[in-house]
Amino acid sequence: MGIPTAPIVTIAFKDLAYSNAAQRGMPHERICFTPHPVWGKSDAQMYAYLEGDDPVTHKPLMPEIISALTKPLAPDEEKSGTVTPHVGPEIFSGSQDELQDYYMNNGMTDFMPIILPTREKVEAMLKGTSHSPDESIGKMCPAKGSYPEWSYTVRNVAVNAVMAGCDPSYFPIVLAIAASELPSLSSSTNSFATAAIINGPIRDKLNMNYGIGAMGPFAQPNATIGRAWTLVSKNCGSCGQPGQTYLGTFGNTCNYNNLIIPENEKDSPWEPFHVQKGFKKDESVVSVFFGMDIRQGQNGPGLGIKPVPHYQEAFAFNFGTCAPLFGGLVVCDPLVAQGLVELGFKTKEPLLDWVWKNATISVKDAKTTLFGLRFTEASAANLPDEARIPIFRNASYVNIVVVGGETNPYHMVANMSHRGSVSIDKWT
Amino acid sequence: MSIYLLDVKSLIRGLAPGLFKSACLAQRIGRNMRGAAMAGTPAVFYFCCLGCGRLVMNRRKLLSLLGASPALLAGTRLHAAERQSAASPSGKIEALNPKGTPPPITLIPMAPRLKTLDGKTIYLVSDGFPGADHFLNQIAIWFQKHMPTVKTVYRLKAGALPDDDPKLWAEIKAKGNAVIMAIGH
Repeated sequence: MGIPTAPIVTIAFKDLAYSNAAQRGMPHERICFTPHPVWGKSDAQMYAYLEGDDPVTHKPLMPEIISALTKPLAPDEEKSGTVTPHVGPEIFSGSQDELQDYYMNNGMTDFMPIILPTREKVEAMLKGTSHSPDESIGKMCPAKGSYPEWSYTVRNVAVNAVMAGCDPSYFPIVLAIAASELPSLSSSTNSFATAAIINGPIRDKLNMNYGIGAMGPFAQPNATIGRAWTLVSKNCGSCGQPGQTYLGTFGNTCNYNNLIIPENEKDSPWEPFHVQKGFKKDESVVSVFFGMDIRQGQNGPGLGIKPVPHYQEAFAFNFGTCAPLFGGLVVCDPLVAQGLVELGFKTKEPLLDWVWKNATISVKDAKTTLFGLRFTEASAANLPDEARIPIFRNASYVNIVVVGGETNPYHMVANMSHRGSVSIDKWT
Repeated sequence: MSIYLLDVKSLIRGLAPGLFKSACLAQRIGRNMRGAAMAGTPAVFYFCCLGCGRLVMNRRKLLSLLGASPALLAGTRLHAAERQSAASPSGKIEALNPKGTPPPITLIPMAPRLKTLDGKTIYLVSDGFPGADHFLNQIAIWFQKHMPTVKTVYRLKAGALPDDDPKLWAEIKAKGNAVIMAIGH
């Protein structure tokens, strides 16, 4: 732009601000800082910030801002040229314990022991795909548009898949997830979570667990594929460095190995999720989701109705507290799906449409919800406060997947959006 | 110029070493690499164990036949890992770097500074995060009180938080002299 600019950031994001400026080519950018937070403070409190000190320089803030715009540039601030970042040597050497410590202390793990990625193990992992080790897969960063994107190859992903404990036969799924370019660790101050629905023959080929405890720690592919996603995000996408590329205030236990959901196609009365998205039934596909959380849905109204509970009412009720920023994903046991068929929902589409229309929020609440009216119906701003509008933007923001071991007709609801589906077969 | 980028702090240290006082991660990498002798790789262990695991596993069928929890089967992998550790308790091994490739960084010279703000137009730009509009309004009030010759103009950047807004930048370039931008929280 060529206009002097003074960016102002709160002190909580000091490292993020400096690192992002450096990665974007302005390592000496004159960033000014306020105390944290600004959001939620009164006008008087904000003015007091201005009359106080910059918490980094400990000098009065407003003169610092003025100085950022008027102090003549130093030679370093006028530099141009290109810098090539380097991520370190190709190989690390040491004893098992030394290497475990080294990977952990340099932010390359999830702080649990890894399988050390020796050449032999990585070569074996690469046999899990026909693709060239040097083939570029995609680009990833902690938040698209906010960070420079790193690129990665089949070999990079193989190293992380070994570290996560994957068998080479799982590698096509890990590659497909990596090809989605969705990181499992977002830079947001929210503590977001991600999910991957797995469909098609590969579920049985790998003995994935889609029955009892499918989303728990009870099967190697379910556990390690999701763990590989997080390691790929950290190491290939520069995600997950607290204070710099990860700012989630709480963190999220889902981030250890994410929500890996192989659909129970065998016991579902409906067409599989990937078929809904245009893939063939005999094709193996991963569909990735991104959003807030997942929780049990047993408290929903309608579940006590006999003989067939009105599950759809519980879905809509449970979505009632979701953020309109994302969509809604129902994860239901096959018993629930079979009950819904008895209620007349022979296919998923009319059910999803019903849930979308009945998962509502008042206009008054939408106006005061964080980002509320930006993501609900645009016309809602002109409706009376007591009118009710769908929480989610349209019916395509509501999805359902069938999984579980039929021990009871339960469901879960996730405040998550579908962010794409990728063929696994293309990565075999 | 070439620097290590195990995390972004190391990048900043490489580009602007004055910003951080602690040792650069890149230097630590160098020390670690020199300290860890490149001994031969003991190319033993592991895959035979994984191979055995695959032969015996059909967890779904076992579960249905025996009525057992799949958790009962998890031990085989753990035992394999234990055998792996025992195979080479003190040997040096080589392991690969899991990092992807960061893009090259093009250094951007900063815009020339103003000699003074007197009589100048400063755009106060919000990226849309809640509270930024109120905060920038307080800055406008501060200028009215302390530097009344400065004219301030408030604008909300279009789009989501990271989106570009070329139209606004063109307006500022045509009509403004400086920008104060509130970013984030």
